[in-house]
Formats: sequence, C-alpha cells, structure tokens
Amino acid sequence: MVDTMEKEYKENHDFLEAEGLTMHFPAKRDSLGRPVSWIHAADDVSFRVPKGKTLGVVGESGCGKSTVGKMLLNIYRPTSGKIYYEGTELTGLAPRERRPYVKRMQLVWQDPYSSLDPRLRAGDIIAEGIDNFHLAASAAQRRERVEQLMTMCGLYPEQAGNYPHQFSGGQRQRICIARALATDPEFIVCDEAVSALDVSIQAQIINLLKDLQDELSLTYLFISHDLNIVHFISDEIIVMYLGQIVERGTMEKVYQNRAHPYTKALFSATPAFTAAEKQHKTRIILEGDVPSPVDPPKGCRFRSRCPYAERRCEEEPQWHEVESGHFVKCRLFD
Amino acid sequence: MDHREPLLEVADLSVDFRMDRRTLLHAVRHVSFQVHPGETLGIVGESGCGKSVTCMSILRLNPERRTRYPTGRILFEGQDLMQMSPKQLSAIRGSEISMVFQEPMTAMNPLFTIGDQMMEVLHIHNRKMEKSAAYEACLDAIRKVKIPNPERIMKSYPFTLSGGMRQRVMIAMAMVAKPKLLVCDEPTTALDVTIQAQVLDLMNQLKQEAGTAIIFITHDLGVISEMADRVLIMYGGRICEEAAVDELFTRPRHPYTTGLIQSHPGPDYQGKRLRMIPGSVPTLKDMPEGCPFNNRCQYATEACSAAFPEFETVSAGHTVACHHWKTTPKDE
Amino acid sequence: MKDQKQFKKMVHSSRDSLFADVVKRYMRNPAAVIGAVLLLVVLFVCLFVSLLIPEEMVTAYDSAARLTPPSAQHWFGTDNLGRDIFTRVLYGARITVGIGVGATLTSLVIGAAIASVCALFKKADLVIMRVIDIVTCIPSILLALVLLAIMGGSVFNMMVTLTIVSVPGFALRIRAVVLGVVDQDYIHAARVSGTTPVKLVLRHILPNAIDPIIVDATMTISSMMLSAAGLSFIGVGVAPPAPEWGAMLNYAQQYFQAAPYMALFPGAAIALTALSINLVGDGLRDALDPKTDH
Repeated sequence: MVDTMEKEYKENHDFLEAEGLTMHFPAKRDSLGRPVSWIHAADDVSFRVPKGKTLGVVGESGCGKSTVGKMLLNIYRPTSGKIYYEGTELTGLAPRERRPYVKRMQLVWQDPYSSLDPRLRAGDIIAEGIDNFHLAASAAQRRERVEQLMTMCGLYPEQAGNYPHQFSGGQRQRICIARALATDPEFIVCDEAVSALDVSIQAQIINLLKDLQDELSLTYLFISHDLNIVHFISDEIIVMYLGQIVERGTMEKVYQNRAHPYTKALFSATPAFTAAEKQHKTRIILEGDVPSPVDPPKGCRFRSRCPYAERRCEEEPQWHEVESGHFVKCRLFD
Repeated sequence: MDHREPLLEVADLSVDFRMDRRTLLHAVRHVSFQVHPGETLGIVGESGCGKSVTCMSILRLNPERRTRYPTGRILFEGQDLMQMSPKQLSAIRGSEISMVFQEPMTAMNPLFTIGDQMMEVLHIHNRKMEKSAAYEACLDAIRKVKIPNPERIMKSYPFTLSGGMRQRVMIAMAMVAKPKLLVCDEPTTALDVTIQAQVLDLMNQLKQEAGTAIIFITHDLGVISEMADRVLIMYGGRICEEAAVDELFTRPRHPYTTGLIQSHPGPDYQGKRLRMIPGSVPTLKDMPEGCPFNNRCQYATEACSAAFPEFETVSAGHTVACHHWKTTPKDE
Repeated sequence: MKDQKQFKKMVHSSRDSLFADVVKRYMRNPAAVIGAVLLLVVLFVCLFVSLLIPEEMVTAYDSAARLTPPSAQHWFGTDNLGRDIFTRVLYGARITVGIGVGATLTSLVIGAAIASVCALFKKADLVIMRVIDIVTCIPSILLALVLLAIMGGSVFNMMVTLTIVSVPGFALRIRAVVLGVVDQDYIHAARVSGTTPVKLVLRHILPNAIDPIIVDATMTISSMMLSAAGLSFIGVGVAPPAPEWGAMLNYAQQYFQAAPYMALFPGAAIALTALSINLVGDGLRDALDPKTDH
C-alpha cells in the first residue's frame, strides 16, 4: 500500500531529490586532531521537492534544517547520501561537472546584514553571478541586467552604487534575492529568509517571493522556524526534529491532521493570534529541552520529551502513511 | 478604566540620545502610560520604535552619558524615580522593580555561579538577611520556575545551561526579591517556540501566584495576545494606540496597528497575498515630522505631517493618536 | 515627494570608482595626510638622494672636523670620524627604509598567500600549521644570526633574512583574520553564486581581512627597521661604513655625552619614519572601510 503511494509521489516529484542525506560534524577532537565524537546535524534525510512548488522545512534550532539546505547547495559536503537534480546525481560529480548546477540552484540567506560583502557596492554584489558565468556580453548589458533585477525586486536601480550598510534590513534582503536571481536559477533555498526582519517588512518580502515564483516559475525550499509563515507559503512541508524528518506531506493535510506528537506540540506552541484561533486551541507544553545532537536518544529521537513515549520507542520507528500524501514516522501508527 | 492607584505612572516621558555635537536623536517622545498592580501591560513595536528605551528609562539604565530626559515624570508608588539619587534608585532596582532581558547570557556574569549572583540580589535588597535564609529563598525561587534539582543549579555557571534554562534562571533571579513590577524586554525572542511556550506558561503562573505587575515588551503580536491584559502600540518613539488586548485585536483603529495585524500570515490567508505596509521602518535619524507613520500611511494628509495627533478616546480604555481614526475602515 | 527627496540623498554618485572613493575618504583624515606627506618626503629622499649629494660624500671624512656640532657647513654636525651626519642620514634612508619596507612587503605577500591556502584547503592547513609550529620553535634572533652568518652581511641578505624570520608570524596572524572572514555568510554566498576560489580570495576574503593586516604590516615595518639596526650592531648586519640608521645610532652611544646630536638625528629619522608609516596605516584602514563614510 505504502509502496504504490510512494511510487506515485515519486513520479510527481522527480525534480530534486535528496536520498539519505547525513551530515556529521566533528564535535571533539583528540590531540592529533582526529574527531572522537560527532554532532549528528542531519541523519538519513530523504525528501523530494515538487517542481514549481514550495517545500517548507520547519523545526527548532539544531534540528538540521539549515544543514539540509546547505548540503543541497554544496556548502557542506554530506557525510553520506545522494542528491539528484532532474535525475543527475550531483553528489558524485567533479567540481567542474557540478558547475552548471551551481548556476541553477541559489540561496537566500537568513541574516541580510552578514550575507552581503560590506566592501562591495549593491550593483556589484548582484552582478557577481553574472560575472562568474559570463552571462553578459558587455558592460552595458551587465548594467541593464542589474537594473532589471533591482527593479524586479523592488529596488531603485539608482541605488546600485550604494554600499550594503546604506540600506535598511528589508532592502538588503531584496539585494540578496536579486543576487540569487542573477544566474536565472530554477531552484532557490530560502534559509530563514524573513526571520531577521520587522513584521511589517516580512510581509513585503514574502509577497515578493510569491510574485517571483509565479513570474519565473521558481521552486523553493523554504526553511523557517515560523509555522505561520511556512503554512502561508508552502505547498508541502517536512517537519524535522534533531536531525531527522518526523512528518512530511501536503501542507494542508499536515496542518489539518497533525499526526506526530512533535508536530502537534510545535503547532500548538505557536502563539494564537486572533480570538477565534485562541478558542479552539489546546496547548501542549513539552517538558524539558532538546537533547544534545552529539548523543541523540536511540530509536525515536523525540521520545525523551514525548508525552506518549513507551518502551518500544527505543527501537527505530518506521514510516507510516496517515492518508494519501501524508507520512509520519512514529510508533503510535504501528 | 481601573480606578485603583496605579503602581507605575509614566507621564510625558521623552528621551534623547546625544550622538555627537550636532546630532540629537529623539528616541522617545511624550509617552504616557500607567501600570496597575497585578496587570500585564504589553508594549509592541518594531525595531527602533522606542519600546526598549522607554522601559530602560524606568530604571534609568540607558547609557548615562549620552541620554537626556527633556520632559517627563516616572512615578512608582507615588515617588518620582527621575528625581532619585543613584543610591536610592539602586535600592529599588532588583527588589521593587526587576528586569528580564532578551539574552540572559549577557545579563549574567560568567565568572560567578548562579547561586552567588542570586544571593547578591537578596543581599542588596536586605543586608541583614541570614545567609541560610537567603540560600533557602533562592532554592525556593528556582523551584518555582520548575527547574529540577535546584541545588545543582545554584552551583553551576551560566554558560553551562541551555537557552531555555537560562531564561528561567533569569526569571527566578528577577523574582527572588519578590518585586512589585517585572519588566521583560523580549524575554522569549531568542528561544525556540516549544521552549517559548514553556516560559510564557511559567510567567503566567508566577504572575497569578505572586500578583506581580509585568511590562512585557515584544515585537511578536502572537505572544502579546497570549500574555497581555492591555497593549500599547509604539511607532517612531510615540505611542499610537492603547487598548485592552481583545479590543485591540478585534477593533484596531490606528492604520499602523491594522497594518501590523494584517501583515501577519494567519491560517485564513492561505494562498492569498499578504496585506503589507509599504516602505521601510524609519531610523531615528530620518523620522518624518508630525505623525511618524505619515510616509507609510495610506490615509495620510497634510495634517499628518503638520502635527502629531492628539489622543482621542474610542471607547473606555481605548485611545488612539490618529487624525483620521474615524474614517479608517473598521476591521472586524 | 518626501520619499523622493530622502531617496535622492541616499543615492551615491555611482560613477566614482572604488579607488576614487578610497582616496576621497583618505583625504578627510588630516593626520593621515600629514603621515602621507612625511612618508613621501622619505621616499623622495630614498629615490633621489644621489642627485642631490654625490655618493662619495657618505664615506668622505674630514679628520680636522671630528664631532663638530651642527653648523652651516655640517647641518647635522659630524661624527667621530669627521663624516657629515646629514649626508649619512639621507643615504641611510635608502638602506633602513628599504630593508623595512622590502622585507615587510615580501613577507606580507608570502604570508597572505600561505594564509589563503590554509583558509581554503583544510588538509593543506593542517600540514602548513605543523611546519610553522616547528619553525617558530627556533628563536628568531638565532635563526637570523645563523642565516646571516652563512650568507654574509649585505643589504639584500639582511632583507632575505628578515623576510624568512617574519613569514611564519605573518602567516599565523593573517590566517587568524582570514579564518574569521572565511566563515562569514557573504563568503558562502559568493561561493553559491559560482565564484572560483582564487577570485574568492582576491575579491572577498583579503579585502575584508585587510584592516588588521595593514595595521600589523605598518607596525612590522618599524620593528623590522629596529631589527636591522640591532643585527648591524651585533656585527652580522650591514657592514660598518654603510650609513644604516640603527648602526649609526649604536655607534653614537659611546659619544653620547660629548656629541648627543650623533644619536639625535638618526634617532629622529627612525622615529619620524615609523610615525609616518603608522599614520598612513591608520588612515588606509579607515579609508578602505566604506562604513566610515558619513
């Protein structure tokens, strides 16, 4: 049953696939510099990104959501696991062969203050990808393209000569987006792209991202800790806890019918906003802290905080299908 | 309105920062509000709106050399804090009014154990207190914030604790001398949502048990709607709207409040575009004349850049400072 | 309307080149300009002194006029052998400043190259750091002595020696700065935009690491000048008749009571040159940072 569903899911999602992505960072080293313990930043993470859609990734700090994004873009080299882009395995490619894919996959960063080189002008920052891939034949063409990108992202082309510190946070994030768009990418990872911004500015950037998606048929991997925003922007969602995916599926199905105890707690912890929301809401308050990723609990990693934990949770849980297009990894569904 | 004597009354407070010889920044302008015993007052606003500066002024914690207070009185139980000597003020800090910061790590000294630092607060508060009694009081305070094994926590150093744990210790430390007013500056912003839920839950419980009044500063409307009884919305160093929490969220009258509420992606917005406030948050250097919101407001007229509007009463306990509050659409 | 006005104020004349920007910011700092003028005078002397005074004058001595105080004939007086100190100080600039600047620049370039390789390649970093650890175990003065003893004391050998001795320190310090920069988000962002390693170093990493490096280098120039003097004094440095400032200062010690001007002028030359270089260094650091622009 699960197999046929998986197959159907696969057919709809053959754009970008991550298979068993694992990332372990050395935590402590001995006197010779050999690692003795590891931070399990991501463990056996598999997902597929639907083309032209947005896949949201939620989880709390240390759950590995940023690590996953960075592995896709080759900022981190995965300890193990494979990444397929339209059927080509990227993880096996030599740097030279990988280069065309660099052009097609881009990133928008969390912190608009630290992600722009303070010594370069906005125009040159945006043009970086154009220069690197020789996308403009002449200086005039380069300028024209930069101006076009700036206008598209809601900046004034006249500001191309300004330095990053002369822009506000929202404008800086627009520069980051323009830079990501410079190489005509198909896929963009948005790593907490609006978290550092003021509330009134967040909405502007989210709308911009949505408009650009419609206009350029972009595919997003939208990483955020803010469930409201992920809910708003995503078509599908994966929920991560301590380096592993615990639940995944279509956004609406997961939102309406949260299956994993962690997902439930996470949604209920998000402060209710309107009076209507406040009413039909029961709050689940989790006990304790997230365990250290150096030595995560065996079996289900959530069991140390889970209100339903039992003995059998010490074994590795299996994936279960809650409904079509909605999967959960929890013993409760055995 | 509450007819009891207010615990804290801030009247016509203005705060200026002197940057260099030529520039004087108006961080807060003519702010007035009251806090009653046992209530939680939320102050909401975006970066640079003056919410933190206002609260730092209560305990005069703004950088001494650069700060000027051209107008204003801050009455705490009838006494003007502005007129107090530094010595009198430090007797009030920590014991009558205490504070919880956004990043607890920077508010604690990494060289001393939690126990040392908590005992010191008590010592300043009451010099005659027995050491053993102080120790017991500290243990009790830690137990109240639901940290298991308080003896161990007393002996540990701040950096050995997780973020959520530290913030709880910070709250325990702030509550140990049983203050009448607790000022919380973005206390949960650095925390994860599930940890934030724990801390907020805890604060609500403590408030009910001890009857402490709280000033809760945040940029997060969701958090404020769960915590506060009454809310002030600040923008550009001014208060623009004040109302009870449910009133504010159901019947906001200031265009900025409305914009702020609507720009939050709620579940009912799915698939649509978010309503947004155009432009960017002005810095203190380029704050527009008159109503500070006038360059981003769709209802702005010339009157708005001419003068800051008077406060007008919408209904009991609901005041707004906007020239056009009667004409702005009512959000239901 | 108001928006427009505010916006106009913000827009920079985007036609200015990066270089013009740096010059503009530099000229705003009076101390840096004074430093630059002083340094230009010193450099001018270095380059053109032989056009002003014939080179024979350096060693020409007047045995009748030993240790004469400053006068119209001998502006800075004469030394114990009756040589004109003014001439020797001017010619000394070539040697002392040449050694200081030359050795610093070479070790700076080599150090930066090593540090960049360390920052980009983890495995190379491990090997290079161990080699540097071993080299820094040898006391630098000992290393310099041995090297100079083998190669013989000449201006060029002095420069080579000082370079070899200071490269490990430079590499270590630059590496520390560069490692701080290399983990910044904008470096990763440039990589994601397809920037190749060499371009990454030249366009993003080094420009952002330059502030502390420049300050470090200016300090090093002065300390190199002093090291050169010290080595000359021990007798392994520049050979005696050459008018090296530090060497002159050291000979002057014996006559300090009778002829303080013998020490005063070379000493002042060293101090002024070091000061001007430091002022220029500070000015450059500020001028290179667009954030100081207000």
